[in-house]
Amino acid sequence: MKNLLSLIVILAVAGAPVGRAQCEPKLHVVTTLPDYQFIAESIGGDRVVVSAIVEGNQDAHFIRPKPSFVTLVRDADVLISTGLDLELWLPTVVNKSGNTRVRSGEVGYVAAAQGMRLLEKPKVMSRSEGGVHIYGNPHVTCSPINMKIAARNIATGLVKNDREGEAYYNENLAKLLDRLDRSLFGDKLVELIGGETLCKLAEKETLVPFLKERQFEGKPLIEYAGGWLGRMMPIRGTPIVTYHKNWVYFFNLFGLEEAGTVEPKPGITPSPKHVTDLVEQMRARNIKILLAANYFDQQQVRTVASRVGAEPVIVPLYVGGVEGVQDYFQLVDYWVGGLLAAASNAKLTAVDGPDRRSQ
Amino acid sequence: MNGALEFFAVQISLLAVVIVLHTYMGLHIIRRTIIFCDLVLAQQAALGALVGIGLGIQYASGGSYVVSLGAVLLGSVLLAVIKPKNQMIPREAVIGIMFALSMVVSLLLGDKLSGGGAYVTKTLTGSMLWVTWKLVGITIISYVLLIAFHYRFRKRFIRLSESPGGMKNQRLWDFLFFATQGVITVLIVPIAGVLLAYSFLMIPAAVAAMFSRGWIRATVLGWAFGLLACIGGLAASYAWNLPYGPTLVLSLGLLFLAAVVVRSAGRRATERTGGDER
Repeated sequence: MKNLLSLIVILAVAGAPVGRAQCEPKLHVVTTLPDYQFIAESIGGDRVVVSAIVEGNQDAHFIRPKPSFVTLVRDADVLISTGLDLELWLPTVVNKSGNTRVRSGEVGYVAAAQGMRLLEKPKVMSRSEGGVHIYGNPHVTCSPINMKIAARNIATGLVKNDREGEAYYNENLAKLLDRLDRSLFGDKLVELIGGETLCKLAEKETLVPFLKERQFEGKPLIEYAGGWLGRMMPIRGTPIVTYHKNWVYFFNLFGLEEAGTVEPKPGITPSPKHVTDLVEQMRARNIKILLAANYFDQQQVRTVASRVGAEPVIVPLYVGGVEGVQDYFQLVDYWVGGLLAAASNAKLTAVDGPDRRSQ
Repeated sequence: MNGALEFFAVQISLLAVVIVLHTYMGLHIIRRTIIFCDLVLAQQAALGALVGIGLGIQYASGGSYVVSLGAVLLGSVLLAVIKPKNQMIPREAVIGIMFALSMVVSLLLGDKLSGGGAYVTKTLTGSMLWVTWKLVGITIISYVLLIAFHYRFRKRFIRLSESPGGMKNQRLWDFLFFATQGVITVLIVPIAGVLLAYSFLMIPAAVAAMFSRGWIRATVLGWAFGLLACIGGLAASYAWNLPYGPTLVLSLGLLFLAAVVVRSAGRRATERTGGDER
């Protein structure tokens, strides 16, 4: 008996440090969108456990609250949502959960879009204008620059709720921001100009003229553009029809033209007149690409595209929305790859050459 | 062809074919007073399509039609077999329960499928706006075959609706009736959706039944009025930028309302003059 007690004491003492490390409570983070889940996991690493409510192939506007969402939010230390009027179902879930810590304005709540430059702020507030978003277009995740802002907001939220992890979170944040910059602009431009300056210029829509005007070692800086920016240069200025106003930030960043939408107004079902007019417009302007998120009716997208001989590009809007897209980098790669393949099939790149846009 | 002209041509061709068979089938259903059996079969077809998506079969593809057909044939067997002996439970109650169960299973399935919510909505509202000449062609051929089948066995089907008592192989003919109705449903649900398909079936037939008891005359009347109402709805939808499917349902609803008013006025006039109502 004495030997047994001694053995238990020795094992307890020997295992104590390991036990503490393993049992150290992790921060429970719940996000609305899977894109924020990826960001939170990238920054939080092994200090956090992250769950997302919306799946990658779902429309975040229309999520039917389930009891499991209430359980998730009830147990959350940190709740991350866009913070605009995209996830209008979220307040109901938060109220039902009874978790006051993650209510808007409380320490456990992070609004990912805080500080972003929002586009398409409505001039008229009327339901007849369709699904109007009072703060502006809420599909902010379509721009990697916005995702850098979201990452900073998320890091701040994690630090507020886990002060001990501050250095760890900041280190991971810096790595993530650097990777986003390099994926967006290419290594060379980031080293020459710096990610922050490039992002500021891109947000002001003056990046491409700046890169064309300035030279480095006898060549315009634009020739050093790599990453998604470099890949998208050949189709810059291309008019593209979209299903819904999902892509405004992406188009703004890469200089694409949103030439129309299949929905007459956001969230409004297409009418015969609108579809006929759209088809005629696409024929008249020789618009050859139709871009849509994969949660919309794919038959509608393919039917419109086939009527005008355009390429339908149907892609997930969020991480995990299709097999093989497990992180945000793969997601943007998927969008860029899909558009470039469509442009190539429609022979747009060969005919029009680079940069059809004056900017 | 001009875009608008092509759109009108496709839609009117489709409507002209769809409404003739639906009016005839609707007349049977009204006379048999099994009003909601079409809703059950339509929902069974929608459920079949959702099961197909779960099995990896693309919506509205050939495989999807086969799975839907399996579901409606199962529904047809149940409709033919289930006839409660307890007088307190009318057949319509069983039909209603079958509809509710099919609908709920569809919703639950839709929740678990990738993009399932959108598909559930699509099975309800259809996609009339997006039909192509190819689909119109397939629908015309299928409907002509079904019309030929019903014409060949018209005496048996009409007896089933008018005086089924003592009829030989009644359950078999009952099953064949529901099965053909099911095939129509499988074809129409991906195009028109459950709600519009039900309107096509019931409203022209109900209007025709107010004015005629003869099968041929009622079918022609229902087809003519139904088609006119739909063309009106089509034009209104185009002119005023209204959603297409709901506008068609509304115009058929207005047709029904107008028919009720005209029929009532006619009845009152007949009563005033003391003549026999025909």
